[in-house]
Amino acid sequence: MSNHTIRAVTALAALSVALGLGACGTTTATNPVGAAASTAAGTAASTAPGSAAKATGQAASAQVADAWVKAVDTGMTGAFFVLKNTGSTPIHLLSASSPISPMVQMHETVMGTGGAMAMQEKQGGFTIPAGGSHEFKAGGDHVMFMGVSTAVKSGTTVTFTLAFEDGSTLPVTAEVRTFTGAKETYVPGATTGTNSMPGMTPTPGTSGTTASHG
Amino acid sequence: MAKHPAPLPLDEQTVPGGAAEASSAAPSRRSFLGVGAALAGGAGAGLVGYGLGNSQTGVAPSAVAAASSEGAAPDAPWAGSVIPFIGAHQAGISTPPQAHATFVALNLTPGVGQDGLRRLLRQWTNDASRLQRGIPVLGDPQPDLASPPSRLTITVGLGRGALAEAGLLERAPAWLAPLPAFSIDKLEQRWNEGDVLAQVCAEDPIVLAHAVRALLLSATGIATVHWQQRGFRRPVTSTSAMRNLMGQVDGTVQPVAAELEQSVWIGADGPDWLRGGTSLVLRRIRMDLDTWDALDPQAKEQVIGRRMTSGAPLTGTKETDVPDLAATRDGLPVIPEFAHIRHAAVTTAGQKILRRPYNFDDTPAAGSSAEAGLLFAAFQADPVRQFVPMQQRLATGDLLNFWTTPIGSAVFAILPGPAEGEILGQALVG
Repeated sequence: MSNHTIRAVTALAALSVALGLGACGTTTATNPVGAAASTAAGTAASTAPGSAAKATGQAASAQVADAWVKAVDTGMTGAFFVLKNTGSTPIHLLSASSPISPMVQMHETVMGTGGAMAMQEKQGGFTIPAGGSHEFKAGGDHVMFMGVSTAVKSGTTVTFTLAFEDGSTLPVTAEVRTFTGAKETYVPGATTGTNSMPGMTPTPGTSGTTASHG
Repeated sequence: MAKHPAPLPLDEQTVPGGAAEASSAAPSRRSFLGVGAALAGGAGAGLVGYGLGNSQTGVAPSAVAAASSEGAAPDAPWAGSVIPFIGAHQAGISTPPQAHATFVALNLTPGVGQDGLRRLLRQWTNDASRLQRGIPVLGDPQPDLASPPSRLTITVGLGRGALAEAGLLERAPAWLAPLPAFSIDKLEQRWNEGDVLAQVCAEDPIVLAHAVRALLLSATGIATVHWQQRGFRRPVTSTSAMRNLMGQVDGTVQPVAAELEQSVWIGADGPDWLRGGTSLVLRRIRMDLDTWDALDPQAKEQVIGRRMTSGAPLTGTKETDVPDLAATRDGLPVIPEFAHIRHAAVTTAGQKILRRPYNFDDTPAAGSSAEAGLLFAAFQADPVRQFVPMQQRLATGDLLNFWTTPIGSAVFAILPGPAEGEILGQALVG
């Protein structure tokens, strides 16, 4: 292998790490917009320069990649990402919070009574086994922001914080994107009571509520 | 030039920054682009990371996984090839041209301002960095179309209108404006200018179409399509010369690698936000194939100044021979006064332009047999210094004008390549 090649391979490997492709938790490189990847250390460094307190507990094993939020004027929207547990013990995601929303919930998508997919609050949050990962995706599990009062514009970023069972937290920076797919309704009478949340609009012809965020 | 079966594309993929152009002892169009040099001479000194093994290292693991399915036969040699997005220069300029290209120009929605431009560039940076690796964009409605990476490149530029909308006109170089009118022009507004440009190229047209759509989805609410032009040429693996639809070998004279700094990349004398960038002149040139086809082969060769089959100048025997414009026979110039190559010829590196043309072949108008021509894409550091004088010579003396008509014209400032963690246009709106 020539020196050129070795250098190139090294550079590519560095790029892969920085872009969150198999990145480890020690990534301290700049947070590239090409990835919206967050690690416990990396995000802390990028969101709180100079005070990069390293995440502890379960958050230290948590790694978020490909985080994005659906653009919305006001009302509700969702966050989608891949949460990986790089540790050797399970981690338990309990809740999330964000400056853009007074109420953030963890949601799952289930088959509704009419055969269409419908979403409801996920009681108890999500457990990710050691070495495992969980995809929060449009049309599936996701983090839901309600009562958004300021426009969340595509091409900007949104921050939110994941909180784990042991009280540890992981800040995440997500890219805001335009998205129109994966429309579902809410399960009628679901225990979340989300139908009364601000920003929800009853949809004629359905017994539930339609959300356009996925 | 040596002919080898199905050579791998020789991209800059192992050297971020697109700085891997090979220097060649015998420059030609293809050797300038790295292909010919490696084919003819092997991986000699100065060649970087060329060859099958090295090309494979340029493919991100996830892209490989996405590109291959279990038990599948080996894909085309270019399928898994990734061209790096991060670097001093954007990809898709000195990159050996891919088989397919879509040029799409958008106009910013009035009122979106600098914030709108920044939002668009941030999304396109994110999109391009993923798509060039064969990875779906965030929220991709058709993630299965993102791979294999297929040498995809996304090259972004700004028209004068983008700087106007962003309130940044004072930072626009003087050349970022419509070209002066040429006597041969019959421009149609539907093909002219545009605020923001994406040149999207790939070997696989499905991957290309997906990438274009992803970029347009990201522009939702910020900009709308002004025009879209699609073109094609030979796959990068072809050892046959690029030809236009008039049958001519096209794009023989190009700057060699060592001349790119002078001829293509904008340096310290340009605006700070364009250093490492360049300019694109895109001319949509319609060809009147019916009248062209009526010419006999000898007449066609007199018009262009080259042999049709070999591409050799009328004073030489092979494509790479330098035309002898002074040569005479029986008292007459061998290359006629009206020949295309006489008027297109330039002698200094600072005058040369990097041509990256694509053919188009669209739906003929009623009563016509063809709506065909060339998307003449030329990259140069300064269009007024380099492109305009050449076009003026061609407009006045080139007999080829009888069969070709420019019907669209656009000038864009092509942004420098992004550094890691930066967006395209970082130094302008970041």
